[in-house]
Amino acid sequence: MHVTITPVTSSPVTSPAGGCAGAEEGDLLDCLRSTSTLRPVVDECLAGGLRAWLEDWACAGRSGGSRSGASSRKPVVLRDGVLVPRKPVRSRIGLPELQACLTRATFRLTVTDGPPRHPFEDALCAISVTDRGPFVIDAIRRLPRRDRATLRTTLRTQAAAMAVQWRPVPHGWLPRVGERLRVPLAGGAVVLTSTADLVLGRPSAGTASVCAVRVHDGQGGRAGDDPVGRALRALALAETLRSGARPLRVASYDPSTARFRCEDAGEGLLVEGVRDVLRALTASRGPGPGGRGPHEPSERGGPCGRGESGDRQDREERARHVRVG
Amino acid sequence: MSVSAEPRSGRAGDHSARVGSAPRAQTIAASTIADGLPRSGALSDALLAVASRCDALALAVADVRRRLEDGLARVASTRTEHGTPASSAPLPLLRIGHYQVARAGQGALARARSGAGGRDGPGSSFRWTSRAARRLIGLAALRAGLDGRAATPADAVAAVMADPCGPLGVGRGGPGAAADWIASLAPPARAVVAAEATAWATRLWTAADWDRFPPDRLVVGGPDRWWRWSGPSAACRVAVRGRADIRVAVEPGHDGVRGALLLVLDGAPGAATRQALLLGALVDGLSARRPQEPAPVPPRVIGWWPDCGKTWVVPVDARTLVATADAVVETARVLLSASAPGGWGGHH
Repeated sequence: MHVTITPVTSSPVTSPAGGCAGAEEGDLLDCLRSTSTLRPVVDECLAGGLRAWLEDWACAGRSGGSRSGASSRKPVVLRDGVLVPRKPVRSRIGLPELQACLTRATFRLTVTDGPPRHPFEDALCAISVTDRGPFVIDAIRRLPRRDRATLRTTLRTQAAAMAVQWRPVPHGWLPRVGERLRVPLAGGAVVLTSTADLVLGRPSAGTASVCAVRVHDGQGGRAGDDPVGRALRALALAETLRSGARPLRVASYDPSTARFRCEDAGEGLLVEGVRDVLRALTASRGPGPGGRGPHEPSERGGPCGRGESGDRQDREERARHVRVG
Repeated sequence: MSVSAEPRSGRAGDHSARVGSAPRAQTIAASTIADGLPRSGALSDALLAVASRCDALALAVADVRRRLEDGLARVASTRTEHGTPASSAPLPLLRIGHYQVARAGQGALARARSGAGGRDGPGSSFRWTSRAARRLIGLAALRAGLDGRAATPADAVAAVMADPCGPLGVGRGGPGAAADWIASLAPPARAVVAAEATAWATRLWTAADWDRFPPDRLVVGGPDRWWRWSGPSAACRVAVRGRADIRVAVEPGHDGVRGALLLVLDGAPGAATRQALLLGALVDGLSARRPQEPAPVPPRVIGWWPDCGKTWVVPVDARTLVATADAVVETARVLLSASAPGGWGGHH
């Protein structure tokens, strides 16, 4: 299923799979869980295969000597499929980051306790009890009055959109907010990290059962880039690696534009997530001999190195055993 | 349950560690649990598994106690030689728990205390946050769930937070206590604390098949256990904390020993994690009333990192207890050598 909903005030839903009709008001949760009673059976070998694929690359890079010296003790960190610079670019927290903090806090309040009455004040109150709370609040206090007003206005608009599109999650769906995912590879030399703002569902007992939502902060990437899609793939991949089972669906939500993008966490998405990681790792290692990165992912590469045709056969083979709801 | 070997940081099968050998020479093996679905079955298996009987363990604990006391006396008196002024004031208390051992093993503690900042930096002090409180609330919520007083983790957390000092709550109130802090929260902050505790509790709630555990042998949370040391010429006192989120009581049987400790940890395992995991078992062993009394040491400790999905099963034997005692001494040395005269901030 691939669902894109744009904006809440316009005509409702793009729903190729037909699973989310009438989702413009308070029903985004239903898009995530849908009405299907049968969920895809999890291929238990898939997570192991993806991990082996990634481990091979990560270990190969380490033994190649490109990460030598004192800096080799620090892990290469990929956050949402993007390489994190080893030296922080700046230490002060900026307006976009503050906006993202407030947006996330408001989203978490909305899906757990209902829409906040005073979005800005309630978000600040919620942030105050987090680890970074004093830091964030101090940064907001230091902002020029005009920037603070902008934050307040933007948050009010976002909160209004969230109030229409989301409702508190039923307790029986086992909601978890603010889940951090951190998957070390190659003995900790490479670390994949991601965060889910909302996770639903019981851990897999053989079928894909977990749904994860990521609130997108509206920061764009380069032209032709798809940072939201990459973050979703990274989230699905990290969840698969840590739990041993692929999630049912991953979704991103941008309250600024009221866009909701929901995708089945199928094998194609996960393989593309691995390719994102390999591309980022290759970029971090620099060009190798022959003008090609030392570990550049081959177009035909796959978990077993058998190429696209082998992958396709595998997928078709698995598809016969998959019950799709 | 199939068990696969986890790569070791030192020589494979190294059994050379003995009482009296140099610190840092020992490695502790850890194994992972089976990764089939559902994961809860494998973790329950690991918690309930039978370990082979080890009659020599009680004797080893006596040796470990002596080794630990000698080591602490050595590092504490070293500080005195460096010129810490003697006074009639009460000796400062150095608290060593899982966090300190793990961080000292990574060298982060020394860097932070020498001025690099961070969570351990000078001036940093404890304050209650949603993250600090989630374990306390989450464990109370799990107890309520296992008792049948709540149907879901969110319901259980709501019950705990509605009366934090009550029978389902997080403990007694008082200045600085979690119960008072929870009671003082404004609604938005309260919602965030509840949400984070619910997330933590849900992970543990769904991590094991709790029906398989005999209720009389299962302890969820419970107070931390402490082993205290104070040498005659030492510049400080030391308290070693043994913490476990789940305790399956030690029970000798005809086929072996049952029992385990489970720790739920953030992030991913690090360099000194194995020693840090075993602190609970070490404190359990050292807490025997008389040195010659057989100590109820659990046969294994299990570390679980939900953020990365890793689970380590670390067996407890004479060798691993020695390595853990050495890690405690090393942590005390790092803390003492890096601290400024006057103490360790919040550790008094």
